Amino acid sequence: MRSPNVVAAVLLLGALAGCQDPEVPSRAQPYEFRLSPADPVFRWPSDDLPVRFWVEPSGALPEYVTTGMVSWARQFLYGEFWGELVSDSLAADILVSYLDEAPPDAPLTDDPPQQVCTGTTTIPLPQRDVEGRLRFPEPITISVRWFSADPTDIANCLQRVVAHEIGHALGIFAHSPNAGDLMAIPVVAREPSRSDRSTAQLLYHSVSDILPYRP
Amino acid sequence: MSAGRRTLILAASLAALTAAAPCRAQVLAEFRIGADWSSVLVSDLIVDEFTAQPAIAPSLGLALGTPLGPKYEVALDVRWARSDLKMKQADSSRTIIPLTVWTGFITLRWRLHGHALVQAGIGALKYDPSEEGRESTMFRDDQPLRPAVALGARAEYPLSGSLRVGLDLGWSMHGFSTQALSEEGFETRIAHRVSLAAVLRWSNAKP
Repeated sequence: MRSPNVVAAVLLLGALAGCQDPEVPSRAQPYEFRLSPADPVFRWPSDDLPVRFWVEPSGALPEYVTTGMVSWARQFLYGEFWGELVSDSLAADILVSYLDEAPPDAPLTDDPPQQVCTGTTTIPLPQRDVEGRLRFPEPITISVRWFSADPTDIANCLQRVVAHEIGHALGIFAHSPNAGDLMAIPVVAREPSRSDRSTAQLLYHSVSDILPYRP
Repeated sequence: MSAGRRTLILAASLAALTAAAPCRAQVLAEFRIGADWSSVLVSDLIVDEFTAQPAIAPSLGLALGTPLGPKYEVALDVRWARSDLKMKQADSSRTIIPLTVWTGFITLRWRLHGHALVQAGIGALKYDPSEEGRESTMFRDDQPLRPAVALGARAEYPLSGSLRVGLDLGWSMHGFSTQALSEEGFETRIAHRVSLAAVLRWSNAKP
């Protein structure tokens, strides 16, 4: 009766292997994502995904937004946040535009970052809706501007700053105290660091106090 | 169709032809329909503990094979199952992403007596997540074929001279990880799948 014994041994091994529950890995230390610990928390609800970005169709801005959006989406494992570009600004959750005109086209390079652009994310003041819940009364807006400089430096700066501002639009309203993080000021990182990642993950597993704007 | 899926189907077709070629006169073909259960793929803790586990998935399968004698037969099984990968917490559950699972096994079956068979197989399994939203999941990078082993049992009853119907209970095991999980520090986890299926079987072999 060797065969039944072999089968039983394989089954037992399989069952034992399945009992090993791998340890949860330790993650980088997150930083505070609110401007003040007393502030309400905002994150995009999982049943509202994808978050809809309308981007001024000018220069390389749509490309920078797509890169930033994807780089933030890739910080998650469980589908917590992802976005898409939409062509109708009235149906968008987030509006992205230049404050002035588009800069001259230039390729992205690995040159050291130069502070030749800035960005602003405007988070509307939440208001109580008819059911008493805090809700943004209008979309979040991101605007970027650039200064006279080498076009490549401007492109590199805008790519970084757009990704940084998208981090604010995700709900990371505060800046990171760690200089190498994307959410630090000045912005030198191209994409989220491990610390940015654990902060975003912490935020997206916290209870949101504010609902997004609904067109 | 992805390159991985094409490879799997091509390998399955070649193996089926190879298996059937030496005894062209005796072949068997099966169609199966059933449901697959999967164990937890990931356990994590971010604020609260939660797991990622596929929901019970409807499954379909095809098999081609040949007898190896009066008691044994070998077959190539290709199966498809699709359900949602769910994130489950103590008091809630939500869909992470729709997830298809392709499996291919070379299966050796042993007929115990007229109606009962036991089976063992080796093969591979491939996770094929939906494209939409994939970037924000553990499946954001390419999914390799994962080696898998399977055991099972079946009860079969004749419908006519060449047709049989059966109830098939199977278990399989594979190591689960993804590039994204590894980068996060997760180790490979043993994942189990249990399938229950009705099988319609045609064979031109003499009983």
